[in-house]
Amino acid sequence: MKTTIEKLEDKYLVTLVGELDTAAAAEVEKTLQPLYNTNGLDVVIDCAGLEYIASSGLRILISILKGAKSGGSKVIMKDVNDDIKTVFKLTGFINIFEVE
Amino acid sequence: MIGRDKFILSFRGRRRLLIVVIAVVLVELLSAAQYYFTHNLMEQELDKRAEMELTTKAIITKGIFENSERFLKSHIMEVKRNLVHPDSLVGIMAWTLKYSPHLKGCGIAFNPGYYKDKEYLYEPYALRTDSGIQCLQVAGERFDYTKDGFYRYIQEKKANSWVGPYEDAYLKRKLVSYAMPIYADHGDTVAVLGIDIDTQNLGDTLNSRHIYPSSFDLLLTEKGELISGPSDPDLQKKVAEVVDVINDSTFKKTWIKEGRVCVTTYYDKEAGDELSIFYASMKEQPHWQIAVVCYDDEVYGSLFKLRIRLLLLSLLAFGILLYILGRFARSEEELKRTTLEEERIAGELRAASQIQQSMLPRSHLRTDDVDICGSLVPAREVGGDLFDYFIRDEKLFFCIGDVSGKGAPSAMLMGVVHSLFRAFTAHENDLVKIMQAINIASCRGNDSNMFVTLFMGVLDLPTGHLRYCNAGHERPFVFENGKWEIVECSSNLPIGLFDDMRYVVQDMQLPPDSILFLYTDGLTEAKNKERKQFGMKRTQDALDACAGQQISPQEILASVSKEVHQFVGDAEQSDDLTMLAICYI
Repeated sequence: MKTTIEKLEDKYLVTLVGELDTAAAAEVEKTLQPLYNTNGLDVVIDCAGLEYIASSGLRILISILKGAKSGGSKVIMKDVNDDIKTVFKLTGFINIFEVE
Repeated sequence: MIGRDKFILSFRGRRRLLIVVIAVVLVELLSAAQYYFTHNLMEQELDKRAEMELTTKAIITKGIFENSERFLKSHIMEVKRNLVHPDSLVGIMAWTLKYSPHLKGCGIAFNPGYYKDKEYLYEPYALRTDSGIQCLQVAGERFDYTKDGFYRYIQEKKANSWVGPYEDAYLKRKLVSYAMPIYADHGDTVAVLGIDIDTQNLGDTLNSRHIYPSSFDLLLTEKGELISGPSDPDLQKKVAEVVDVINDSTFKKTWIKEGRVCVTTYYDKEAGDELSIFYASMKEQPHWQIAVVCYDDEVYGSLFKLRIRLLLLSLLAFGILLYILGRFARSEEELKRTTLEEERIAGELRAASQIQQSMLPRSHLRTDDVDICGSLVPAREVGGDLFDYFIRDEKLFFCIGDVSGKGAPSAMLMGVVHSLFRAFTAHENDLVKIMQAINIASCRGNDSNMFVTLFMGVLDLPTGHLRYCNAGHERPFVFENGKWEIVECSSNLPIGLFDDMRYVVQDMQLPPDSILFLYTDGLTEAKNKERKQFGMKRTQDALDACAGQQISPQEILASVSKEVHQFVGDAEQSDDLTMLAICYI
């Protein structure tokens, strides 16, 4: 599981590659913790390489989302694969994240 | 607790220390034994060396004696012949003295008044000096040979003999002499012919080589009087001491080499060392004794140094050993502590698991209206899945849920949600209100954003009317009209995220003999060794396999369970596996 953060002018770009299961979640949370408060900047998460996300992974996304909402910014998930999109639809997450 | 640990540590530490100390003592004993045996061997070697040294020096000394005797004996005839020409005598002696470099001098002492026209006391003498050979007449006021010198001794002895050592009044040196009486035709002695050897020369010859750096050799008479030794003035005091020891019968004397060599030792306070004195008598006349003296330090010094070095090395080695043992012990202690800790945690988890299991409803309930079967297999000791059901006022309240994550943290939240379900369904029938209340309560104090997917339903038993709400959970299957189909649900967010969530509740009618099959993602996401998931399709297939017969919820669960286990095989259970089947009769 690889996680990278890039700070751009007007947003943060996060790249997730691999399987975000419970085992990987702890490590990923440590890496993404700075994004829990983005000071109004949007967060774009590139999920092209993300194969699978477990509930522990969703938890991390929720934390980022709550932080972004309180700062007035958005969390955009890009290139989400069909399986994950289905899960988002079923759980209603698709309504709170912007999924492209 | 800490104090007790320390005590235990130090007890073990003491035992360990004791073991190392015993090992050190044993090795030291062994080393000491080795030292003792090596010392003995070296002593035997020393004895051999000393004996060889004595033999060599004896040969040298004997050589000097024989030369001297031969010299004299070879000239006696010539001297006798020239007695009537006294002036020529000294010439003869000087000539031959030239070819005997070890002799100091050669002279003939005549009976007083022998020559009428010479002095009363007449001893012509050839003397070796640094500048050559001098011819002298040594007798006179300064030197009366009747009182001193070889003349006097030979007159007493009346035979060829070695005499001395004595302090020569004329030469003012310590000499030994070999002299022989000269007989006239009438058989009486008329003179004594003698050669003198400077004892210092003898001493220097003997001490030209040493078996050990501080060793020295001595030449003594039969009676133990010192003839000569090393000329070094610093050694003279030591030499005197050694002579005293040789002559002192209170010192223990040991005979070695079949009684030929005598050994005695004494402690030299000044040098702080033990001295060994080896001495033996010459076999021939005059049976003088040769002694060789050596210091123990020089003989055994290297052995002693070796021993000290080995001792230090072994102490160092033991120090290292002790350190290593200490490190092992420490890591051993740590390991033990960690293991105890792990055991404690495992024990607590087992206890928690039991509590969780006891919180679940009966796995099987059959009434006139419903046949229910549920199962929950946590992935770890405690899990984050939950299911519950109960009947109140002819209504069946049921739910199935999944806390995000797994293990102890999820189990705690599961316990809370479970309690909330029970609490809010105790008096409330409105599903919307129930879901909202549970959600609000779950959002409070939930900083870590843990959420719970929940499917809740209220089934009116007389009518078969089902109200249900799905908060982010897996859509259940329903078996009606001979087919298994997925129940359509609107997607509400899971519980515990946003406290202002509005939950959409749906309705459905359950015909008789229909079955509702609820599950958590532990079923659909069960992984095999190739990390492939069981999936929705296999779940559908597993249920379709149970479609035909009059099958009970229990049998459904058993069948699906079997399929999943077959699929998963040896792989580790990755998530809690929960299933709930409700048959509306």
